[in-house]
Amino acid sequence: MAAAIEIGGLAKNFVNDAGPPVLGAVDLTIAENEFVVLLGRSGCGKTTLLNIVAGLEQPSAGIVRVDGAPVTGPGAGKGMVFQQGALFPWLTARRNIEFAAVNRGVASEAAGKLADELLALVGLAGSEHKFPFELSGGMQQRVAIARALALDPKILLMDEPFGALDEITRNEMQDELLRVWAQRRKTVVFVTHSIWEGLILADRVLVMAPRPGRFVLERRIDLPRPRRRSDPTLVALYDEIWTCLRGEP
Amino acid sequence: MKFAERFAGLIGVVLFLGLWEIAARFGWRNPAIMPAPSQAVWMALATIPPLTLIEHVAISLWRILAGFALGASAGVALGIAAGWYRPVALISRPFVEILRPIPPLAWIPIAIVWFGLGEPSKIFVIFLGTFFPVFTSATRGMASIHPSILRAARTMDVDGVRLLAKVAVPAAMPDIATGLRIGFGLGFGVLVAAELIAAGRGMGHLVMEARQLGQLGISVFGIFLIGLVNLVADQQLAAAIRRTVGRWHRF
Repeated sequence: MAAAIEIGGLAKNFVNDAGPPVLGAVDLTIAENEFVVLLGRSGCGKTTLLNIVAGLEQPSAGIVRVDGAPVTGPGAGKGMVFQQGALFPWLTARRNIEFAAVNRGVASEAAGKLADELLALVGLAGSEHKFPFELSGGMQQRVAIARALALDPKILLMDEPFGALDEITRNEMQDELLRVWAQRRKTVVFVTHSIWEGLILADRVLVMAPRPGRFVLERRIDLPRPRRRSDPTLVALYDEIWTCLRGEP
Repeated sequence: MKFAERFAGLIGVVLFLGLWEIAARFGWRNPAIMPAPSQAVWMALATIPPLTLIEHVAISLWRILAGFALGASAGVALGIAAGWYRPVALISRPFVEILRPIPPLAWIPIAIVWFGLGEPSKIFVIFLGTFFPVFTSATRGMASIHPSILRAARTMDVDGVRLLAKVAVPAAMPDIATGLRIGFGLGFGVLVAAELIAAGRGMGHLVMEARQLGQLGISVFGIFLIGLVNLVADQQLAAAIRRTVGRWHRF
């Protein structure tokens, strides 16, 4: 399979590139349509890594290639879902999605059709005229996913998208995401600090440690989806990852 | 429920006016110093021709609308610019911070010299009363946009002037709307005070002139009128905000 994302020698220091390292020299290759989860505690550099891939932050050293082309800025084929509060509150669910589509040059009529299609895909048909504040946290994140898909991205970057949701909604959203991903195959990089979330979702889990941010454990999970938390393989992986994370200072 | 709550508010008003009425009629017994509300209204309606009354209200409203329109548009435009472009903020901030604490009424003597006793001097002080709160709110609104909103826009390839016009300004609208309401209230207060000091017409002038003529009832009526007109105007503004920004934002 072709590499969708190649990260080579990527490093980031805060405060004018000479400050303390946030991200060590990181190397990572992600295959097309692979679902990769970056797992680690707060401040381990996983969000910084994601932002650099998105083109929202510049690295101090190293390079990121998406589809072979170096990332120079945001946009163009990189959809992103944030933790919360990133929907435009002055636009309805439908208009939020249309906005994304129109921005990549889709004519407004086609954008409307696409928005309806994506709303149906994320299970929100009937809520298209609601404003974000009228939607629950889970529904808002469904709109956010639909909006990212409206960019027709090759890669989907997700920064703790379910981190602000209660556990029940969160589990539902994980199933929903997998269902949507099964229909719209994308390369996904998903940042979380929930071990179970990583195990339920990922093709590959990368555990990160801080100062400097680096990968300390990498595990491939070839189990079919949907996965059960009682699966002995996952339980064993959970223990292994937890031991790894707990061992950190 | 909603009706009952409104009715409760009405009880408060009626109770207040009723107590005043009783106190004035049976306590002080001197309508020249403490006219009862009913006496004030009766006196005003009997003395002032309806057209003159309408003219007082109309001229005050015209002044407030003109001053507010100028102050609000300047405040919104400059506030957005200062909240978005750092150089504009660096240049304008100290200047605004020096002028902001000056009560707009302190400008009246200067305004009269600059603009004469006519309308421009009144509009100028209303402009000052409106501009600063609107400017401050707009700047704050721009500065407190949730960073994720701007990041999300950038992932959609929106930047430059488009980012400002299509994303940042709409995102700052709740704060801007709040600023407009505060600015209107302050502008109205400044207007009446300006009319007390230097005007031949308007509601403030009505209050002042009646006092000088010893017709305190008309002054009391004028004060009621100011409160009522301000209330109605503010309700209109609030309703306009509810119909627009209020559709997507809980204030």
